[in-house]
Amino acid sequence: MRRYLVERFVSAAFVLVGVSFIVFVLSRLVPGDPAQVMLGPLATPGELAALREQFGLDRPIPVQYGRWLSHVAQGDLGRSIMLHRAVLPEIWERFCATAILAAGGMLLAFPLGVLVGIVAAIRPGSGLDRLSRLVATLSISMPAFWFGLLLAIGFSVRLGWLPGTGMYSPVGQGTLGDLLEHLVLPAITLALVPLAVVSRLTRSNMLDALDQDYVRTARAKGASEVRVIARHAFSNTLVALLTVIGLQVGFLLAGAVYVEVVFSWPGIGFMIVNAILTRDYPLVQGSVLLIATSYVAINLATDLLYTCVDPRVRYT
Amino acid sequence: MLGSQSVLIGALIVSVIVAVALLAPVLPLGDPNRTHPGRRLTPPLSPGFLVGSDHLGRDLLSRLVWGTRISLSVGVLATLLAMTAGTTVGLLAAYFGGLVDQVTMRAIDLVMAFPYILLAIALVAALGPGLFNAMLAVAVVNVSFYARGIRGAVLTLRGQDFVEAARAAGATDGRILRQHLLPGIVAPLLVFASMNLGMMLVETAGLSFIGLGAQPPTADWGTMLADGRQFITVATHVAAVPGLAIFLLVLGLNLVGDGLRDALDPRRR
Repeated sequence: MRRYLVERFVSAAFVLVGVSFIVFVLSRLVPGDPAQVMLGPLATPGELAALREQFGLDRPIPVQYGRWLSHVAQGDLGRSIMLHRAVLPEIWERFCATAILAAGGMLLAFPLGVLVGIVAAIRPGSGLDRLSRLVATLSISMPAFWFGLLLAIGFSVRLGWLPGTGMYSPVGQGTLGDLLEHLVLPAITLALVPLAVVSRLTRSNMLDALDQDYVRTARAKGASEVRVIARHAFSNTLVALLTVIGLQVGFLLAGAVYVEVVFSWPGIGFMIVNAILTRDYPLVQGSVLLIATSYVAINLATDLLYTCVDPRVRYT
Repeated sequence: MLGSQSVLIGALIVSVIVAVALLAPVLPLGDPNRTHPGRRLTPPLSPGFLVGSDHLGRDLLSRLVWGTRISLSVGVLATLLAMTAGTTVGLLAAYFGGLVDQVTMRAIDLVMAFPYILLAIALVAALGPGLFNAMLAVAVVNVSFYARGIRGAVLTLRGQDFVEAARAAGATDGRILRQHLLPGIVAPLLVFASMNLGMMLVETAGLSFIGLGAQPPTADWGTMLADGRQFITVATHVAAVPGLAIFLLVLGLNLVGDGLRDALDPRRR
């Protein structure tokens, strides 16, 4: 197991370096002179040259990358061109808002998806099974940004039951209740696709597991159906489920951008879109790097969780 | 029985939408960009506006039909690009193996270390907003999906007797790849493409929705949805109609894709 853990950490470290390199290269693909972008159209050639020297923009690309990476390692992601403030505190606050939204989506999608999948698998061909498969197919086909708009139209505009924009009320106290009220519609929107994916996968894996000899043996030995399902069948689907859930968490973090735009949720996705449209590249670069790093960390955590759910990993 | 019914429904939906897209130039529709300032946000079933009008008085039905051509073309082109590049990468990596395979797969792993939506947005940020750049970005992030899938299929075929026989008969690597391996991956490629096309359509429409894809006045489904978002309190049809079009097309493609997978996947026979 120690070897497995070391391998996973080393692999994650290499991936992080690779991710940082891709983010750096993407920022260098942007047409135009970064110094010109920072100083504006009225900058003199002398000012441009001085800025290029200050930021190392006149150095070879590998040197620029090394310099940029060393700054990143110290938590310095540069300064926002539009906000004139350090990037990291700005994106961290927004990232926390996205994490709250993603957490809401996860709490809705994963337990419900697993439950629906299990029930559909133990009653294949039943009305519930057919309904769950139909809803899953419809959900996967539905664009999240359209579904969110429909929810906003229905529950916010027409019925007035729930707020359709923002994270808190403008005149509110910023209470937990206010936050939860604003979280409902965006979280449901974000949870739609992961719920469908998790329920389909759970159903499929449970059907395979329930068809295995060890389940037949457990039943023959007199185990209760609950024990057969929970202890024997479901536990053997956990590895595949964990993989998909890990991937879906990444989807929730990055896919939240559409939901944040629909509901004006002040998350990092919403900020990235505005930063792109205003050409604030340090902000875009820092945000992309933060989300990608989180994704790598989540995948690493998923790999580590395998040791808990699959005894075969513990003893390799 | 239910499976074949759903495939038929999916095929019908896709056929109707594709037919509408192809027949757009000959259908009796007005100019999709022509504004009618006095007829803004007209509700559906109004005289002259079957599906209503948008905030500039433009006929939504006309914009929807012409937008179908754009959205469908972009989605199909992005799929073809990703499929071609991904198949080439996967085919070569699996066939030659060794260092080629290792380097290629590590590069694919690195690309897949990003959530794909984030990478598409980052690419558009670098290239600049626009429909072509959005299509390119979506195609690039999906190359890895095809590369991995085709690599797996080719690894299975590479060890087959007919490949060994061709090599023993003196066939070159190129001939083996073109005439022996490529035909063998057509079935899985069709399954991947059918599963992927719907997602590509949603992704390109999504980029347009957040302002990074098609730019005004282009009548792409995503931009129509973005326009409609501003008016959901007074004219919900402006947002509801293009979204419904995206949903129906993607649903049709997914139903057809599921049917293709069931028909072509040997494990399901």
